[in-house]
Amino acid sequence: MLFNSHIFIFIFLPIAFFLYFYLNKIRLVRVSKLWMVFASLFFYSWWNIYYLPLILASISINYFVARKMIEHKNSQFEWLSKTLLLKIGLAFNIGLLVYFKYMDFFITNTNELIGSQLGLLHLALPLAISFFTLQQIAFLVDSNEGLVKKINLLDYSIFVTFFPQLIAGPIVHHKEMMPQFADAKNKLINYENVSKGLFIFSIGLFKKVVIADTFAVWATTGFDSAESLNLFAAWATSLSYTFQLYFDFSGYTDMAIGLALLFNIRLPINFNSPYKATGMIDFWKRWHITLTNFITTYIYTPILRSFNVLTFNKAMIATLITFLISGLWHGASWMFVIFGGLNGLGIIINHYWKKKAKLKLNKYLGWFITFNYVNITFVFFRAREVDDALKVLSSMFSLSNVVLPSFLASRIEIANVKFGGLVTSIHGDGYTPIWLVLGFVFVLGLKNSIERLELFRPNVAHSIFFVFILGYTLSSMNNISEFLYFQF
Amino acid sequence: MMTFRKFTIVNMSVVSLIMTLLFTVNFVVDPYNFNNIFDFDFRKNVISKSKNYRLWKLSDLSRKSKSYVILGDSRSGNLEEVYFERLGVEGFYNLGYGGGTLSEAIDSFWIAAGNNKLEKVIFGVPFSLFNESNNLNLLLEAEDVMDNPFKYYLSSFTFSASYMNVYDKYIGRVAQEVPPMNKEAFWRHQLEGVTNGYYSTYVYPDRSLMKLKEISEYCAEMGIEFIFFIPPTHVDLQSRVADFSLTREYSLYKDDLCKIANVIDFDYLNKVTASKDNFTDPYHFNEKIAIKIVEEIVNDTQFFSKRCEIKEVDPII
Repeated sequence: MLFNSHIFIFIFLPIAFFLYFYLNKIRLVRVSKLWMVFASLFFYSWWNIYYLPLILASISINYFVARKMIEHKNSQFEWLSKTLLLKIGLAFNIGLLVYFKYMDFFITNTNELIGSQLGLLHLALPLAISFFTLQQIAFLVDSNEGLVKKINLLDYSIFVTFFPQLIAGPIVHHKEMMPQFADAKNKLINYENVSKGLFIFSIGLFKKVVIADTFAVWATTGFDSAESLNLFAAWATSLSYTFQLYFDFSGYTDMAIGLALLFNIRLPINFNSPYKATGMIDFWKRWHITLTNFITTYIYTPILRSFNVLTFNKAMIATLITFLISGLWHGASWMFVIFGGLNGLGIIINHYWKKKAKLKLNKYLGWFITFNYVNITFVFFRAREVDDALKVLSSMFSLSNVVLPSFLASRIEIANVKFGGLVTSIHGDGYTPIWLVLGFVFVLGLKNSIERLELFRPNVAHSIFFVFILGYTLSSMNNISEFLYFQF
Repeated sequence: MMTFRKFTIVNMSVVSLIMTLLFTVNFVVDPYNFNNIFDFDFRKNVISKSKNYRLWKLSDLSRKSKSYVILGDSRSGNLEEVYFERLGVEGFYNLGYGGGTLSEAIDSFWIAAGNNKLEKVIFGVPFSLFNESNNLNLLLEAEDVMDNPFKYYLSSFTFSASYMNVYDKYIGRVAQEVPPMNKEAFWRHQLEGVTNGYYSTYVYPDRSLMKLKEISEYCAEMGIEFIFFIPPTHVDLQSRVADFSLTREYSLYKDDLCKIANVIDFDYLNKVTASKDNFTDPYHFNEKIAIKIVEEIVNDTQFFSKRCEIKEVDPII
C-alpha cells in the first residue's frame, strides 16, 4: 500500500487513525498498541504477504538478543558476554541483508572473477529490509552500550513497524521514539498535530504526485529507453532525475512526518533544502539526514576508533570507506558503489579545500560546483549499467550532438548542427524546459516543508493553500507510481 | 485566527465535499461507461473518445465480445467499424489509437486476446510506428484506471470528460480538434517537423519485432488469422525516408514483416499515394481511401495494394 494510493488515503488511514484513538479513549492502551502493530504489519503485508514472516522473525530475534543484553546480569545467558551477544545480533542482521540483498551480486562477481559457474538465487528483495535492519542494528549497539534500560516486545514492535516510517524511513532512533509512544498525552487526538500533520502530508503528496511524477517521465525515458540523447535532452534527463529524486524522497518523508504527527509522534527531519548546499559537506548535512547520522554514528565513528593514531588523512580514508558502504547499502550494484565513492571523494576534496586551500569560495560558485557534482553523481545512482550512465554523461558534455529547435531550420544553417525536437527523445515537450526552470525555483527559491510547517498557523491563507493542494493532488492521482526509495 | 480543531474540521469537510462532488458528477455522467446506470444521451463516443482513445476503447471492448480486431495508430483507427459492417463483417472492433505506438498496439493485442475469442487480427504497422525510439505507452495508464474505480471516479481527468459531455449536450457543441492552419501549412508541418521527430531519432525495433513474432506464433497456435497492413502515405512522405538515409531500414522493415505474417501493403508509389486529394496530410488518408482499403482487406481484392505472402517464420530463440 502506497501513501499516494486511494486505498491508503480513503480506507486504511481513517480506520487506523480513528480506531487507535478510540481504543485509547476507552483506556485500552495496550490494545491500541496492538492495533497499531497489526495495522502496520497489514500495511507492510499489502505488497506481499510472504515478506511478513521475515519481518516478524527479524523483530523476534533482535528483541530476544537485545533483551538478553539489557538484562545481562540476571540472565540465564550470563555465560555469554554482551559483546558476543552483540556479534550474534549483528551477524544475524548483516547476514539477513547479505542473503536477501547482496547474494546474487556476490555470486555474479565471483563468477566473473574466478570463472566459476555458481547459480544465482534470484531472491526477491523484501520490502524495507535495509531500513528496518539498520534501525535494529542501532538498537542492538545501544543496548550493548547500556543506553537502553528496559524493553518489552509490544513497544519494540511498534518502534520497528510504525507504518509511517517503516518502508523508507526516516531512520529513527529508539531514544527519540520510545518515550513518545509511552507518553500519556500522546494517547488523545491533538488537533494541532492533526492539522499540522495533514498540512505537511498534503505538501508531500503534492511533491510526489504533481512534481516528482512529472519529472519521472523524462528521467525514465532518458535513462532507460532513449537510444541516444542530444545535448539538451541529456541535461534534461539528468536534471529531471535530480529533481525527481528529491521531490519523490522528500515528498515521501513529508508524508511520513505528517502521518506520524496524526498519531502525535514526531519523526526527525530528513531533508533541509539539500540543493541549496554550497559544498559537499554541507550537502550531506542536508540530504537524507537520518542516514547520514546513522552512518556517522555506527560506521564512521567505529572506523575512526579502530585507528590507533588518528590523523587527518586517516579520517579521510574512513570517510571514503563509509561512503562506499553507504553507496552499497542503497543497492547491490557497482553503480551504487561508484555513487558512494564519488560522494566520498567530493567530501574529501571539500575537507582538503577547507584545511589546505584556506580560500573561501564564493558561495554562488560553491553552489554551482556542488549542484553540478551532485547532479553527475546521481547519473550513476540512477543508471542501471555503466553504459547507461556514460550515454547520458557523454551526451551532456559533447558538442557533437547539438540539436536546435526545428523552427530555426529554415532560418539558420550551422555545420554539424541538426534541427529537430530538443526533448522528443525523452518524450518531452514545450513544458519540459518550463518544468526544469520551476524545479530550480522550487528547490532554491522557496521555503522547504519543515520551514513551512514551522510557520504554519490555522488561518485563512493556510486553509486556502491546504484545500487547494490536497484537493488538486487527490484528483490528480490517476497514475500511482512507487516511491524511488522503496527499492532500497 | 481559528483554532486547530476548527481548521482541521472545516478544511477536511471542504476537501471531502470537493471529492464527493467529483465522485457524484463522474458517477452520474460516467463518460467512459464504467457503470452505465444513467443515460443522458451524451455524445460520449465522440467527446469522451476523442479525449482518451485508449480508455474509451478498452472500456468499450471490456463490455463486448469481438472476434475480429484491427490494431495500430490513427491510420488503423480511421478504418471505422461501419465500413466493415457495410461489407457484412460481424464482430469487428477497431483498437487503433490516435498517436498510438507499436508497444501500445502489441499490448492491445494481448488485452484483446485475453478477453475475446479472436478469429482475425489486422495489425497496422506504418513505418513511422515501426520505430523503437517511439516507445511511449499510455495504454498502461488506461489499464490502471480500468482496474481501479477510485482512479476513475475521483479523477480530475474523468471530471473534465464529464464536464465536456455536459457542456456539449446542454450548452453548446464541443468542436472537434482541427489543425490551427490551412491544409498546405499543415502538410508542410507534418512533412518537416513531425517527420523530423520520427525519423531523426529512428531506431530499428528489433525488440518489438520479437514481440510481433510472439504474437504471430500465438495466433498460429490458436488458429487466429494474423495479417499486417501497411497504410498508404503520400509520396512526399515516402521520399523523406531517403532524406534521413533510412532506405535500407525501410526495405528491411517490409521484408521482416513478411517473414512474420502476410502483409497487405498500400505504401508505395501508385495512383492513390501520388495524389494529395487522397490525404488530409502526408500521413493520413481520407475517408474515401479508408473505404477502399477496407474493401481490399475484407474482399481480398487488389485495387492499389501489394501482397506479400509469408516467406518463412524464424524460430523464436
